[in-house]
Amino acid sequence: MDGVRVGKRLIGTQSPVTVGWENIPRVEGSPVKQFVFTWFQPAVLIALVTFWLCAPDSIAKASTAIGIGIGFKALLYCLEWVNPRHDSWRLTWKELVTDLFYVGISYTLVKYAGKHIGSDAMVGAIQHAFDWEKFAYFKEMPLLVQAFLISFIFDFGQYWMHRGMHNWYPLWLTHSVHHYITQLNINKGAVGNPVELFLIGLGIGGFFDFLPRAALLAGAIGMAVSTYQHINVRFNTPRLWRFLFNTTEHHSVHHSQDFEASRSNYAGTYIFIDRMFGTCVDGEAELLGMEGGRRMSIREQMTYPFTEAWRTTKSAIQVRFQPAAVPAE
Amino acid sequence: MDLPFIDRIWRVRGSLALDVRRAPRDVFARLDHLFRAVGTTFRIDGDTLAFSKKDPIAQDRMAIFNHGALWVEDDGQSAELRYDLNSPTLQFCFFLPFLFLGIAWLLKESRNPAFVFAGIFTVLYVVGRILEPWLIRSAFRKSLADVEPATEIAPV
Repeated sequence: MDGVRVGKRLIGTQSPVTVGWENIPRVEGSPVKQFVFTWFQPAVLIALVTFWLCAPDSIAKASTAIGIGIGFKALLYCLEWVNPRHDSWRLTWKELVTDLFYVGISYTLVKYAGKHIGSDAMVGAIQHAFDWEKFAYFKEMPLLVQAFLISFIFDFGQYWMHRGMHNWYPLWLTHSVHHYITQLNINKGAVGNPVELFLIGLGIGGFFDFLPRAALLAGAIGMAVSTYQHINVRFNTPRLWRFLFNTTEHHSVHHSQDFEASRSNYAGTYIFIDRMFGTCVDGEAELLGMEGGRRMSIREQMTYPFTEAWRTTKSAIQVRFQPAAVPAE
Repeated sequence: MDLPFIDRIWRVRGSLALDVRRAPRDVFARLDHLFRAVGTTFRIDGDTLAFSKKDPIAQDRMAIFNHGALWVEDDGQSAELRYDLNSPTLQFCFFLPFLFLGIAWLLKESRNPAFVFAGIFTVLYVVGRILEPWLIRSAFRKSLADVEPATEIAPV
């Protein structure tokens, strides 16, 4: 395959990747369907932002956010059913079971670890040792600005954590498991080794919990944008949206079987962070995964970072202490 | 290990009457596309096809089964396809509610998510135990119903 030059890189030399928005298929069907699948994403974002800006305190709380999250996910399941991006990504019973297993582990064991030794514990410790009065001006900003800054700072950290995972072998070991998925759907974001799920949860969003309404609004913005990373829905994503935000198109490129393509589109919410640092590739891919699309069993996903680390360390030690014998002359 | 009642949790057995009596090789030829998948190996020995799968991809229509056998039984008057399939995914899903109940017991705090997932996997197991046998039977039936030329066996 020849690939397509994007900046200094050749994308799609190992596996097909469609580069450029003009080459991506459009939503087919009635005008109503095209309208819905063009404006669904912005409409949901505007509705959620309006809700969290205007809702009275009695309902603007975390339990409401959880309820909205569950309802939103149920709606997205319906969209995946009605208008899939690729038939080869259609949800099966087996994929649903394996994906929900990871979602369940995230909501229980990983959350527990985060609470006691992860970000919640660290945030609590740092907050006690910090003079938050110096940040009082933050509270004076408009609510929407507060929310944007919270989500942007969080995503900026996620960008570098994610990019680090693709460039530093110890972190890659934990993240590589997530790249063995061969299709995208709304639960795939949770599929990966629990160590990675723990690491990716290490964020600084929790520092802003003294701004409850802004934090909820920031969470809603994140949900209304980053959820689409792993979705299997064909949208006519509006031009401004795809310039600013990460989309399933961007993220499918990131999950492509093509190595160069996979080293792009690291941001979770704001794709303009990738544009700032030259790692954005606009396009999409259908063939996903590693090693030509080999699927990993759950057992292997659980052990792979450790077995690979052991294998690599062992071979490094062998090279160091038992260099290849030089044949006698 | 032979566990005749317990193994119904993860084994799918069934039969499908063949509208037209066919030679086993013709039956298996019509099902061939189901076994041409990444990570799948199969062997035909007379009237029996045995297959095994290693890490089948999501797009594999038989992805929930890791090994099994299909055979044709012909009593001279009629013929039927019988199958016995083994599903570690059904087994895994069956044990997941217990896993999450165990997590709820272990963590002793914030138990609700664990209970919710135990419930979800209970429902999913029941759905899968009914849906997946129906789907595979349907796939077999559609493959065998094609009106392609069949090497019919003349009544004896």
